[in-house]
Amino acid sequence: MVSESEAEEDAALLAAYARGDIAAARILTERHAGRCLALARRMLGDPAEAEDVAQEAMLRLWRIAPQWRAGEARVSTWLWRVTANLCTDRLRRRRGRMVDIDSVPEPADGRPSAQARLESEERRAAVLAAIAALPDRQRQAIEMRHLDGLSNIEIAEIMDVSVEAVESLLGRGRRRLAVALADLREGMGLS
Amino acid sequence: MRKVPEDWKVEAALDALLAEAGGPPPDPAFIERVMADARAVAAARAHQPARPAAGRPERRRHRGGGWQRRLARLAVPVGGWRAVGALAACALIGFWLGLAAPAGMIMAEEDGAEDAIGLPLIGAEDLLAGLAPARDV
Repeated sequence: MVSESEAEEDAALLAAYARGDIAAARILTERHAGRCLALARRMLGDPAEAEDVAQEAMLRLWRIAPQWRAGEARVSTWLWRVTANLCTDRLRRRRGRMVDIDSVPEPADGRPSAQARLESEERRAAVLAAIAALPDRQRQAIEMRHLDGLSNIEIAEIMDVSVEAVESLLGRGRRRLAVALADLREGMGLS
Repeated sequence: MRKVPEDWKVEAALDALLAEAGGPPPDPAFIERVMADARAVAAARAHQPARPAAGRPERRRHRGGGWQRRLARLAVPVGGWRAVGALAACALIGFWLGLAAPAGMIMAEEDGAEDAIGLPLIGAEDLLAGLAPARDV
């Protein structure tokens, strides 16, 4: 999740990168590229295309760095919007194709056993299906908060609502999810 | 031992499930591609001349108010301010010549007037007669 100080730090890092500091770009990449990728994977369902989109979003950040005005926008929300727009463009181009959550790549070797991975993927698919079944605005808020790692302030900025409204959407969304995922929680021994 | 409230367990379980749903971490090769872009953009920028820091491209601004802008637009069809200045200077010189009637100028209407090398000048009536259509031919 992105705190206020982290948002200020992002702006400072971007300014440092604009002056030629590549180490600053490394920190920004580690902080934000994964979030862009997660959003693109979720929207496009195609891991390879998602990587292309996330890379393009980061490239636009590098290009705009010298013109960035600190205090006017957050790097995190700017990147979220750019990634979402790029995904929307691609989805328009291939309209009609369904998002396939099973197309998310398998974890690399050296990870948990095949059985554990399968169970993990099944749980993940069930959680994503439960989130997808939420009312639209609750789904958006839950995805941004829990899957993209944005803060309530950032979600409020993107959704153009108050922070209190975001908290309400998250609360209602989580209550619905808790009911929908009761069986999974039992399976995890947490209920 | 104090019992953990049921709500807490539900919240913790939900957080665990949501954390897991975030998907696998990015491939290191993907991170390196992003960093390669960052290096390439920085290298290209290092070879470019410095640009203004403003986010929007700078626009040329007229220093004057609205009437100056309108005047500037009017001057465009005749070739801009320089052409308007030249035209105004010519008009002023002509006006001055008309008013001042310099002493050295020989009026064509004067009888017996001659130019500098002694040839007789043609009078204005003769010129007009030459231009008029011949009625009695």
